[in-house]
Amino acid sequence: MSNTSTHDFLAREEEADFWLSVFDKLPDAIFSRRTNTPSQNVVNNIKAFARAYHPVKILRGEEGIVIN
Amino acid sequence: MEKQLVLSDERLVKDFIAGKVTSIDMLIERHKAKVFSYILMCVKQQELAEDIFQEAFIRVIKTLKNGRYFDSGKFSSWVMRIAHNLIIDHYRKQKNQSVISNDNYEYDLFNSAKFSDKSVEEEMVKSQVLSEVAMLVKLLPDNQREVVEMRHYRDLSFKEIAEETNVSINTALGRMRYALMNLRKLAEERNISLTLS
Repeated sequence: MSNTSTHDFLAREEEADFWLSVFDKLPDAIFSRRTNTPSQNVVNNIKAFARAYHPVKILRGEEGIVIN
Repeated sequence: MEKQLVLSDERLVKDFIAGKVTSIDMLIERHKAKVFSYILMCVKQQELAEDIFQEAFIRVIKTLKNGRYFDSGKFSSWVMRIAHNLIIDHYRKQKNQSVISNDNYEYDLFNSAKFSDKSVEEEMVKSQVLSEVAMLVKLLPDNQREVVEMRHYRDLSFKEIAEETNVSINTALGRMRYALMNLRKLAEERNISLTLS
C-alpha cells in the first residue's frame, strides 16, 4: 500500500519552475485584456493592506512606542 | 489620469516607496492577470490561487515599504518569483502533512458505502454468523475452547492465556491452531458460511 498521498510533489515543483520560465518570457501586454483575475475582494484587501501597513523600523524610531 | 497610465513600473515603485499609495493600485491592476494566471496554472484551484496571490502582493508591499527592494529587472518577474516561492512552500507543507484534499478529486472520497452504517440485512447476517461461531466453539474440546474464549471473548494475550491455564505459550498457540482447524472442519460439516462482508 502506498503512502496516503498520491501527489508527486517533486513533479509539481518542476511544473511550477517550467510555468515560471514560460510566463517570464511572455510580454506583460498580452495579459492586459485577460479576464482570468483574482476576485475584486482579494484585490481590495491588498490595496487596503498597502494603505494600513507601516514598517516596524519606522515605528521604532519614535520615542516611547512599545510594540507588543 | 491619462499621464499616470503610461508611467513605468519602476516609476510607480519609486512613487509607492515615497508614499504615493495609489501607485501600488496601478501596479496591482497592471499585473494581476499575469501573476494570477501563473499561480492558477500551477495550483489549479481558484481559492488557493487567490490566497497565494494575496500573500505574494502583501510580501511585495512589505518589501517595498521596508526599503528592501532592489530594482533588478521586470517588476512582474519579481512578483512571480515571490509567488513561485509561495507555491513551492505550499507544496512542501502539503508533502509534510500528507494531506488528501477532496478538491483534488472529481468524486467525493468520503461518500463511500464503506463509511456508511451497516444495513439491517448486514447486521442480521453478522449477528447470525457470530451466533453460529459461538455454537461451534462450544463443540470444541475443552482445552481448545478455553483458549478461543480467552483470546477472542476476553481479549487476553497468549502470554496471559499461558499463565492462566498453566501451560507454555507454544502450547497455547498450538491449541488455538487446532481450535481454528476444528472450527473450519465443523463449519464445513454443517454447511455453515462464516464469511462477513
